[in-house]
Amino acid sequence: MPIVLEDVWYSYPNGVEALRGVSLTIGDRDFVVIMGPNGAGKTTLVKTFNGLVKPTRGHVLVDGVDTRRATVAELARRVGLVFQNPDHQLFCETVEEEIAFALRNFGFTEEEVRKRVDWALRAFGLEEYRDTSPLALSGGEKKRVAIASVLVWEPKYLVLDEPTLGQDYAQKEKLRKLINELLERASVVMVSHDIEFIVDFRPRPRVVLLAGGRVLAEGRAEELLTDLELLKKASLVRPQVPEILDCLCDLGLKVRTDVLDLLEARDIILSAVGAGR
Amino acid sequence: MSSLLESLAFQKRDSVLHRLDPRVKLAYAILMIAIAAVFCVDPTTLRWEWRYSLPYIVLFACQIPLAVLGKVGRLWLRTLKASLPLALLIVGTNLLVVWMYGQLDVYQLERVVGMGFFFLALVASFSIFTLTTSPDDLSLALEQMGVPFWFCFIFRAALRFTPLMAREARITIDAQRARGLELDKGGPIARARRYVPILVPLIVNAVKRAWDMAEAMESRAWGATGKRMSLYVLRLSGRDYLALCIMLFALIMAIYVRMFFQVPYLLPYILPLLEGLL
Repeated sequence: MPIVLEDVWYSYPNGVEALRGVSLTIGDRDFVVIMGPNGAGKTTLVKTFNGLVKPTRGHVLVDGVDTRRATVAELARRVGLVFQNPDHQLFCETVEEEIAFALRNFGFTEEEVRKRVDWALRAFGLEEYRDTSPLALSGGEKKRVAIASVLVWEPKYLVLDEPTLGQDYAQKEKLRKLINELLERASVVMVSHDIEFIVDFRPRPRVVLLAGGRVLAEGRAEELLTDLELLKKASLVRPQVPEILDCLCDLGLKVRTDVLDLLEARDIILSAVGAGR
Repeated sequence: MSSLLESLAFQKRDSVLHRLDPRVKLAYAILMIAIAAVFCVDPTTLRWEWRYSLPYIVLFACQIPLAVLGKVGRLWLRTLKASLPLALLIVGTNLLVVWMYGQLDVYQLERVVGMGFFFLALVASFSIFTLTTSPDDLSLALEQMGVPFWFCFIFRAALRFTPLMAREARITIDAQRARGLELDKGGPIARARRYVPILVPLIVNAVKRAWDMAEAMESRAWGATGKRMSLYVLRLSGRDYLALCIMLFALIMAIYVRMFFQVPYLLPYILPLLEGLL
């Protein structure tokens, strides 16, 4: 059973309309990336998935349960949401306790808590920081602790808000590997501005472009992330590969520009150059 | 609490109150305390006493047109809504004390209701002041009144960070609830303990921000010279003088009424009417 959003509207108490008629479905083992300019309503949208934000109009159904009729704690067991800034959640004395925090809230047995914490520490390369205060870690390490502290209870749907923020290349690649592994047993929804990080995924995610609280477009990454007009509306910069192909077009080389894959682009350029000779 | 702090934050609008000199608005906030105090002091013995509720209800009602005039009515109402539990706590605690150690009658009830409205009137007037005065304007006003710059700066920084802290508190609560924390579960002690995951990140971030700010200020030559220049200089206009005159008149009228008239009790008249209606 998926997460279904039916014509969801949401206004903040100060009157700002953050969501305006959003309809969306997150299926089982789905991989969705939500992109859009600042203030588009991306974070508000993902907060509706676990009931932190209850729609003022419309419905959000998580596995058939209306989020209005369930507590955040009940929904959080299925929908794990990792917030953008880890400084907003880290508070325990050690990394180990921080990762175990949610497990204890959900009533896992101590044996299960230990087993899962060990797994999370290993998966995120945090074993050496087990007894360190999470507040003493670097920005990237804190982010990893924050993600680990949610992933540890294995939610059916994992929502990551800007997971690559403050991460170096190596850590991004580790995160990519982990997300690919997770996709075998869970759905992943990611809010991100990091377009290059997204286009390097195989298989590529479904992209939802959000602007002004509305869904601007939804579809395959190859279609949406190569559409210059659409990307402009969503305040996004086109990925490097179609950008280079477009530059070659300007130079008179007849090549397609709706390509995200580097190797595919190489073949297209080579065949175009060969045909020109 | 976070909504109370948020709703006290300055709102940029084009209104008569926004255009008033910040010093006049500061005088207004102090004047409201002064008028409220006038009705708390016995004119013959000069002793502090709580007796009536009518003056504070009137004082509170006077704030309504001002909130409308300042175009901040909605947020002002939010401030009141958020401060209502505190007002009820004041009323409840005092009622309990009277009930335990004294005789609870209609006059005691009037006294306690008066305390609640005294608090609400002060919150209402202070809210109008903060909603219509930017921290920068206020700091400038204090500076021009001769208050040392370092003090003005602390004051301004505190006001500016208040809504930020409120926003952070909201995000932190959301982040911990997303990890299964249930704040409303259990008895009062268990509930208080559940706030630890909220308070720790909030305090740590506040200290970190203060530290970062101190470093950024020092990098920009904070305190290099005692002689500071100000780009803006405040000058009182005709509108400001008119407002000051009205405020002075209100204070004189309040003192006059308190000294020469008997303030009527409200509840001994209202309660029988209500009983009749019921």
